[in-house]
Amino acid sequence: MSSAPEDLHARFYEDYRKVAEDYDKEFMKKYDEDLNTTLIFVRPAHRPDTRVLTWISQAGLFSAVTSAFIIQVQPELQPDPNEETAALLRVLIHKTDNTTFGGNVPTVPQWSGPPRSIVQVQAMLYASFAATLLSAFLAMLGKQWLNRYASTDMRGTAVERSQNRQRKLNGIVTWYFEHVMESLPLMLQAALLLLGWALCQYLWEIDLTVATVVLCVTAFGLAFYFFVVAAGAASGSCPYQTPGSRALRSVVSAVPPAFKYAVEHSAAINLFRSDLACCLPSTSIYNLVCSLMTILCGLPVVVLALAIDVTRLGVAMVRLLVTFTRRAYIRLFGAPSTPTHGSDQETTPMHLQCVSWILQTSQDKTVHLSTLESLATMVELDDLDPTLVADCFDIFIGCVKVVDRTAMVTQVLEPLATVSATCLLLTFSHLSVVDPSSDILGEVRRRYMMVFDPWTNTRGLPFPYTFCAIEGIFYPDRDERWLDLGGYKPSSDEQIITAHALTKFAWSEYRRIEYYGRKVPRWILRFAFHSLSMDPLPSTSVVVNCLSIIAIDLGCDIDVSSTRTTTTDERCVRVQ
Amino acid sequence: MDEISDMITRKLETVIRDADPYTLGHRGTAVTAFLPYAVRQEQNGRRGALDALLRVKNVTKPSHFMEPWVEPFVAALLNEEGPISAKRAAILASSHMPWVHFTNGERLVQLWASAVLAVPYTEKIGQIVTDALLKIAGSPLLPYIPSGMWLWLGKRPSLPPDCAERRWGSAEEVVRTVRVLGNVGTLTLYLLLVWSEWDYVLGLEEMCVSIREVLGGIWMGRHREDLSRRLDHILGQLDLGLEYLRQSKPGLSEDGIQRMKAEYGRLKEVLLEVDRGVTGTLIREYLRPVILFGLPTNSRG
Repeated sequence: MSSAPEDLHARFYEDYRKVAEDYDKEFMKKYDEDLNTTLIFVRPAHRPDTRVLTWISQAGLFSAVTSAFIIQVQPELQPDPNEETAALLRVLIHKTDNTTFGGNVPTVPQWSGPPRSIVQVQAMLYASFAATLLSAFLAMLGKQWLNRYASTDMRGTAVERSQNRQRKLNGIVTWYFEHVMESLPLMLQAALLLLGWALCQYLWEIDLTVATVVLCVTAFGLAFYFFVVAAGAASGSCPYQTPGSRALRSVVSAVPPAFKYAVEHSAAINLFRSDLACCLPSTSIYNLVCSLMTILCGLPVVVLALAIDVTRLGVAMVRLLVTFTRRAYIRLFGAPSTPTHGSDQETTPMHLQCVSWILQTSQDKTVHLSTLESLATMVELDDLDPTLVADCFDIFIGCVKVVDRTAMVTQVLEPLATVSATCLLLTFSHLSVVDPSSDILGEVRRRYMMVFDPWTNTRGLPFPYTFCAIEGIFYPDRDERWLDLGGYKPSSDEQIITAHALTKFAWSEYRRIEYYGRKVPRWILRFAFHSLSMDPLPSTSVVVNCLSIIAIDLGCDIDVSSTRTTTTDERCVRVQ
Repeated sequence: MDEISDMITRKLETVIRDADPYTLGHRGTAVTAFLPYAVRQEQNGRRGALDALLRVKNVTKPSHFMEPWVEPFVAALLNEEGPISAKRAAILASSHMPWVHFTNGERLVQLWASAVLAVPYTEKIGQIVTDALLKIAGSPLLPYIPSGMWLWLGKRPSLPPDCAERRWGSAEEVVRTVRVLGNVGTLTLYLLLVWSEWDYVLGLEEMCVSIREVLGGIWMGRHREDLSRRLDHILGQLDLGLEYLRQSKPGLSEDGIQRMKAEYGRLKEVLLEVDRGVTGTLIREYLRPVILFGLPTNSRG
């Protein structure tokens, strides 16, 4: 981090622009093609002779097919004028010559409405037609939305333009744009199913043979569709991926734990299990009969237990609904966050989001390097995306390999390994403060311990100072490390960042335990001692942070959720 | 920087004032971590931080209050070529050091002794050095204490009533070490230091032997008189009873007082016995010939 923060940010945004261009090109291409396909499926067809549907000038191929059937069935919803005319003629003839029809006296039939089956068929055809038009409508809107997303803001600096673009992308994620786009094919599929069903029912009334053929073909198509969805859900590598298969996969993955929980906690199942446990081991028929009698007599109890299960199911559903609503609310309007300090209240979270996005999107190590260098210069990490911790960890682990319990950095990746270690330390400590119960912290901890066991030799890593702090977080009992830096002299930046991160981590660890057990980990206090023993003293911010660590352990009021200043070389926690 | 340092100092003072042993007993590492900064403040003439830090021990008295990893820092402070202010600060903290856990304790004791002799004597320094001396003497580092440090007791430093090192500094090995120095004055000063109404002694038998062997000379009357006066004072204080003594040392018990009475009474007896022996010798060797044969004349000379 020898360059100035402004230069690093500029380099990052240059990389961001390139990655964003590529991404947006792919993004636009994908959805544009999808929408085009949808529109082709419902491509324009002109049927001006149709009385009902003349107003629909933009209906497509599918809607044309549907409309043809609608036109075919539509007259059956009204009284047949030819039949009425014939009846009237029969009445006239009978008036003229009452012997024409023998004893039969012709009457004018009273129309009692269309047959019920025709109404059902027509309702399904209209539903199919409406779904088709709705998908066409949404596809048109989707094209407009995509055009708006693609439109480049020509005003502002490169940073502002990039952040605006990130804001728009965030909106796409927040407002479930992808889900809306993927619902279009689903609507068309539903329309197709409705058409098939209506056709089968219609033909069933006319001719059984023809209806059977259509039914078989429709059933085959439906079965094939379900097979495709199931295959797509079962295997991620299956080429038959549809929105339905993705949805099915998420549901299936959620079902087994829920099923297991339901079985374990079901009152009825437990009741039966206990009774069966009583009767199964017994060899005596008398015992068996007694047990069965007990079960039968206990039927009211079983019914009660089932009622309890149903109630529990209802409560679980309500809870699920509440959770979903809450998540949706947080997604749309954001979680309540701590107030931010400093002048760049808006740009900092956006910058972090840009960083987070680019780390998740790009696989280019050079881009990662510029991104993490930019991240490492950030003082405020408010609104940190928790996945950023995992991203930093992934990049760090990607640069380090452990061979025979010796950790080493892959050649030419030293700068990336160093800066990713720094960012891991920064983000992990920050997340420990703002969300100590985050699953990502536990996940990163678990993965770290899988890669580096306590006996891994890490002395060969080119950033021993930062790594000592990282190792301390995951293996806090190895506090002798601060004496063993092998003559390594940490740079001022390293000291500042490490001290700041460890102060935050100390605070989170102190708060983690209930009042009487509160304690800053010993190794962090040793770090403070080590830093304060240096001659000459390190920079002011390091000293302040080290004193803050001591003050935290002694129970003083220190606010580490925000930094006192916003300059890189003055990262200090806030003293209350 | 000063703001947060002052905050820590205030916190330490609050805890000391409230005599909160729980808080302090678990904050040894934090206090250790604060030491370098407090020492630096002391060197710059701001004494509050180190004072507060040193007073912590008076409240808690854990045997090893500071962490052993202070060793390199303390060694750097006591470095012979370092400034007097650094040495003084290190000496002020020396009674808190976990000497027995230092990996290079022998060298550190030598450096410390050199620093003590180099730093100007004050009552506070005297008290802390004595405290540290007895602490080191009660540890395996006893053989590495330079003899000059025992002679340093000639400055007649005192110890506070509540001093755990007094007892450990009265162990048999320590008494023997001081005795073999062969300096009666140093032995007397040492015994005056470790004998106290606040604590019993560990090396009682060795003290009795020392009194008999070293202080049994005819010309040792002044030293015996000092010691006798000290023992009289201690026994007099012990006679005042538990309630009175507890005002200065709340941890005392009736059993402890009885034990101390027995020990110091025994020492007093030995001292009287030695005195009687000396008187007898004096009469036998000097006064009887004078009575029987008169004073020697210089006529021959």
